[in-house]
Amino acid sequence: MRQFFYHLKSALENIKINQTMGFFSLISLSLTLMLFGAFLVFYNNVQGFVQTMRESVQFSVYLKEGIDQNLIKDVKKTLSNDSRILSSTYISKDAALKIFNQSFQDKTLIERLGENPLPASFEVVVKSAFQESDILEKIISEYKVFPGVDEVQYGSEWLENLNNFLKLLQIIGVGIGGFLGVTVMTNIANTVRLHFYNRQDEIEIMKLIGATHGFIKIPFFIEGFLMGAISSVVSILFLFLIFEYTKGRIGGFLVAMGSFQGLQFLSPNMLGGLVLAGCALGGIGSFISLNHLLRLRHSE
Amino acid sequence: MIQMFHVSKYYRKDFLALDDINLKIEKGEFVFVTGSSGAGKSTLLKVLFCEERADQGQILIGGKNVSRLRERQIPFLRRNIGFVFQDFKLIQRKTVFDNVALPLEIIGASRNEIKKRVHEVLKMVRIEHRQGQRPAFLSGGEQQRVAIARALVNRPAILLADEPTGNLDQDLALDIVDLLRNIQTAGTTVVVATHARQLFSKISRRRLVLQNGKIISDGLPE
Repeated sequence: MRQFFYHLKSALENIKINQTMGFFSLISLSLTLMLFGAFLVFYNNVQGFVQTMRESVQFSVYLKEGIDQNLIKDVKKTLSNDSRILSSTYISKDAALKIFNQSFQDKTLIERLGENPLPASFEVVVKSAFQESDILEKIISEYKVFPGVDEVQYGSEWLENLNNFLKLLQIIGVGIGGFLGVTVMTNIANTVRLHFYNRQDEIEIMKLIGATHGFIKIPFFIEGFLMGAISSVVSILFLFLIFEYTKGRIGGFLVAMGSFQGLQFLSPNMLGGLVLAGCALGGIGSFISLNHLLRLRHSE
Repeated sequence: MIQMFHVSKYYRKDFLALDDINLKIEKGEFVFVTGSSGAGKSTLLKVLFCEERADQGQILIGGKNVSRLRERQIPFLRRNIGFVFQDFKLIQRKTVFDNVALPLEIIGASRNEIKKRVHEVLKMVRIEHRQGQRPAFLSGGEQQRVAIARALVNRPAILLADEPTGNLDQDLALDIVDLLRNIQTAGTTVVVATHARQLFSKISRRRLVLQNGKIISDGLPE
């Protein structure tokens, strides 16, 4: 334990000695991690949006004109007993007309037609477990042939596109994450390498008085780890400030778009993950760099 | 005890720095290794310390064959041999105390043990009053004392000194040699490489004379 504190002290001395270089490295690392954080915020919100949309997935079962009340009861009963259906709401011809009139300014449009052309229908919400497009297609095809049913309408294409977009974002996320991860690692590796070169006389002396490679490496390893940790925390702070500013400007507009809870910041798990990723990348970057340097010096 | 059997060392492929060296240094002995520049004095010390590896022959230190040591075992050998360098090799940003404490930090000694032993050796080399200073504020003689203190703090059985007085004036040089003699008297084997005639001519100790990497004379001065 005492030796750990000795190494920690050496690592902090390393950072202190190379303050200017360390400061710019930290800024650059923080910006890189912030880019990734910004992508995560974007992904998180798109995912939330898709989830909200999914939860409101519904299709409309339009009934035939002049349908018998018993048949309507049959359809209602079947929908209520269907374990895949979350809820179903009956909308009579009169109710449909009322909704139409509320939606359109020109209230005389239907009156001019003479009679109410709008069909009675059921608005059906499907449970989230059955919202995959192929399952939905199956449910719809079952209700299409139900006695008294005229037509079933469902905006499947739109949801399918949204799902595909989310999958694309996941792939882009892995790509961006990988790219930025390598950037962070290279940045830390280079910083540690420069600090190592700055202290090579000391390292030589330490080797001559019996220090193992491990003893020499540990402070640099801690330094890389600390740099990763500090820069990820700084990046989160920057990101949060930018997020709050953006939320104030466009959050209201997004809420107004409907079925959307407004902009969400990263979850505690994601924040923890970002800090851990920073630490891990810092540690790995410095480890690779030091192994390479000590091997080089050994073979000199 | 140090033993060398048919030890040779080449620099590049054609320069023979040590040529078939055979020698035995008893425990607690004081030996000067002398010779002109390029005779192989430093190389002899460096192969003992594994800073350079011998190309041929065997080296036994305390019965252990160091020529067969793997790279990762070398630090552990060095912890048992104190080495004093001509250019002191002190870490400039550390204080005298921290420089001397470094070998103990490396072996993971406790804080109390470090304090006790560092004060002990600083007192022995008479530099205790400078323990909070950085090397840059010390004279050459003082810096060499600090280097000796660092070499001794682990209580090594062997102390190797490569031109320990090379950067010092004559009075300071004799002072350092006196200190090394005291260390030997306390039971440590001391091997000093030097070309400074005034040192070994004033002190009657075993003298190994090297020329072109060969031992040309070995014994007490007449």
